[in-house]
Amino acid sequence: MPITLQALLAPNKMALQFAIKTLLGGGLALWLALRWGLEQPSWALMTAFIVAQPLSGMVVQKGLARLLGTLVGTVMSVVFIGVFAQTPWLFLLALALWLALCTACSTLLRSAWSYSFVLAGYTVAIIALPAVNHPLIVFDQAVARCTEICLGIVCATVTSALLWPMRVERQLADQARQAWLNGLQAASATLIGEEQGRKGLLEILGRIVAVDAQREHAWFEGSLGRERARAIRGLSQKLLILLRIARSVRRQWQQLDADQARHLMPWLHETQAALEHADSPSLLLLRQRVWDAAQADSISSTEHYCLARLALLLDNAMAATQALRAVEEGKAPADVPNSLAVHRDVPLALLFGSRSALAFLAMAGFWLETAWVAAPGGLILTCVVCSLFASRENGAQIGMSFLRGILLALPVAFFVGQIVLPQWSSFAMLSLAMGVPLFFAALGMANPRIGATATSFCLHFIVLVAPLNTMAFSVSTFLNSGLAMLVGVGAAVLAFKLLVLHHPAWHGRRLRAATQSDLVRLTRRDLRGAETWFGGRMADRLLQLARNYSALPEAERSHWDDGLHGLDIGDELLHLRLCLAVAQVPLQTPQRDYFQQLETVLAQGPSGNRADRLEAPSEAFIKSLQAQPTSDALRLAQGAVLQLQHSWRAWCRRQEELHGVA
Amino acid sequence: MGLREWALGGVLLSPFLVYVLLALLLTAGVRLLLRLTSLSRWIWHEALFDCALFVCILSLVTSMLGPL
Repeated sequence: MPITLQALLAPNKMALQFAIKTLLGGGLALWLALRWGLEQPSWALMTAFIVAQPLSGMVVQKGLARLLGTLVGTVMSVVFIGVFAQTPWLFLLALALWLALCTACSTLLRSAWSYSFVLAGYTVAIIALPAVNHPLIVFDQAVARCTEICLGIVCATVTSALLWPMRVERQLADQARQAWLNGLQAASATLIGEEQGRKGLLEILGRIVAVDAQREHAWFEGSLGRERARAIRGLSQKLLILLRIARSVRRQWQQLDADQARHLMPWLHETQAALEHADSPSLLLLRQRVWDAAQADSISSTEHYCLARLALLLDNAMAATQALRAVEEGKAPADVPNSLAVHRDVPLALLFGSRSALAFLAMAGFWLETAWVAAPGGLILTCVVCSLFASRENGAQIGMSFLRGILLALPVAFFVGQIVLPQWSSFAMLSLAMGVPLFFAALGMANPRIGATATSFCLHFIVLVAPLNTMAFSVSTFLNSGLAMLVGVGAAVLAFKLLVLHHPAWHGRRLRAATQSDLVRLTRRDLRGAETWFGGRMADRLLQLARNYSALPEAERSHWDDGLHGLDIGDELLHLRLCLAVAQVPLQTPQRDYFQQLETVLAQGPSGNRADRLEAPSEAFIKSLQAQPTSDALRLAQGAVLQLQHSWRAWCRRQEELHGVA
Repeated sequence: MGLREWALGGVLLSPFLVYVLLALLLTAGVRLLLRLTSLSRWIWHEALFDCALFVCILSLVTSMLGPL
C-alpha cells in the first residue's frame, strides 16, 4: 500500500507532468468527440489513455500500431459479419480462429509493433459482437470506432508533443553509453574468469536488448532520432561481437600451459586496464603492440592464437567506441548492419494462440447458453486480456491486477456515473466529475509497479461511466456490465492459470534445438549479416534461458550451459569462416568436406559418445591447410579448427556429466 | 428444479449469483483447510484442482439450497 499512497499523494515531477498531459489529451479527445456527435465518445477518451506513454516517440509508435491494427480489425469485422451473419456458431468459430492467428502473430513478432496484431484481433470482437443481433449496423460501428481511435491518437500525440516533450532519442544516448560501459566491463570480466561472467553477461545482454528495443520509438522523432536509431543498430552489434570475442580469448587462454600463461599475463592486464579507460588512442597503441608481439618468432602457435584474438578484441573495443560516438553525435555510419534478429518459436506462438481461442470459445459458449445480454462485454474483455498478455510469463498476475483495477473502478464509477452526473450537466462538470479520479489514476499509471492496475481502472471507469451527449442512466445496465467485466477477465485469468505453457525444462529443450539448427545453418549461411543474425538470436535465447534459470532445480540447469556452448561453437565457426574468406585459399573440396561433416555432427547434437566425431575431419582439414603457403589468416584458421573441436568436446563432456547425474 | 429470481425492494436478483458467491467462500474455506492439514501437497495442478473444487461445491450448494 505505501507504494500506492506514495504514487498518488506524493508524486514526482515526471509523474505529475505525465498525468496532466494525459488528462488534457483525453479531455480534448472527449470534447471533440462530443462536439462532433460521434457515436461512442468514450472510445476516443479510452484511446487517449491507452496510448499515453511517458516519451513522445513511444506515443507515436503505439498510436500508429493501434491505428494499423484497428484498420485491419474493422475490415475483418465487416467481412465476418457479412459472411457469417446467419450462422452464429460459425461466426464465433471464425472469430476464435482469427483471434488465435492474431495472438500467435503478435507473439512471433516480438517487437513493439506486435501491438498491431493484438488490436487486429480484438477489434473484430469489439465491433462484431455487439452487432451480431443487428448485422446492418456493423458498418456504422466500424466507421465510428476507426474515427474515434484516430481522434484519440491525434489528441494524445499532440499533447505529448507540445507539453513538456520528452524524447526517446535523448535518453537513448545515455542508455547507449551505459550499455557500452557495461559491455566493456563484462568483456574485461570475461577475460579473467568464467564464473563471474554469467551474471555480468546477463546484465549486459539485457541492456543491449533493451536499448535496441528503443530504436523503434526513436524512429518517430525527426531525422536526429532516425539517425540515432540506425547508429544504435551498429552499437548493439559491436557490443555483442565484443562479448563473444572476449569469451573466445578466454577459451584460447585455457589452452595455454602455466609457463605460457605467465608469459602472456602482462598483456592481459594491460588489455584490461585499456578496456577500463577505453580511449581510442591508447587502445590503438596497445593493439599495435599486441599485434607485433603476436608476430614474434619466439612464441608458440597457441600463444600466437591467443594474442591474435586479444588484438581482435581491442579492434572491436575501438569499433564499439566509434559506434557509441556515432550514437551520441546522431550520425549513423553508412554501412549499418541488419537489426538484431530475434529467436522465434512458431509452435509456442500457436499454443498461445489456441489458448486465446479456447478461452474465447468457453466464454462464447457461456453467452449462448445463458443468453445474458451483458455477456458480449465480458467476452470482449476475455479477448483483450488473453491476446494482450498472451506472451507474458506472468499473464495471470497481470490479469489479476487488471481485475483489481475493475474492482476499484466499480464503486467509483457508480458514484460518479449514477449519483453525481445525473445532477450535473455541461461539459465542464462532466470533466470535473471524470477528471478527478482519472487524474489520480494517471498518476498511478506513471509508476510501473501499479501501472497495470491504474490503467485498468482508467479504462473500465471510462467504459462504466460511458459519457454521451444524451446520457442514459441505468443502474441495472451498470450492474450487468460490471458483472460481465468481472466474469470476462476472470475467465481470461482462469485460462492463464489452467493452461500453463510456461514449462522451463521443455522451453529449455526447445531453445537448445533451435540453437543447434542455427549452428547447422551457420555452416553454409552467407557471411554477410551472419554476425547480427546469430548474435541477436543467441542473445535473445540466453536471456530467455536465464529467466528460467532460477526456476529450475540444480540438476536441470544445463540449458543455460547449452546456450553458452552453442554460442561458443557458433563464434568459432564464424571466426573460421571469416579467416578462410580472408585467406582465399583454393581449397574447395577439403573445405566442403569439412563443413559437411561438421554439419552432420552438429545436426546430431552433443552427447558423451560423440565427443570424438570431429577429430578425424579436423585433422584432415588442418593437414590440407598446412599444405598451402603459410599466411596469417591460414594460421588463425587452423587455430579456429582446433578451438572448434575443443569446444565441441567440452559441450559433449558437459552432456556426459549431466547424464551421469541423471 | 428451476431457480426463481429474488425480489429485493423491486430489484430482481438472480439466486445463482448468490450461490456463486457462497460457493466461492466455501471453496476458499475448504482450500484453507486443505492447506492447514498439509493435504494440499497431493495436488498435481493447483489451478485445475481449485476450479474443479469450485464447480463441485457450486453444484452441491445449488442442489441443496434449491430454488428457495
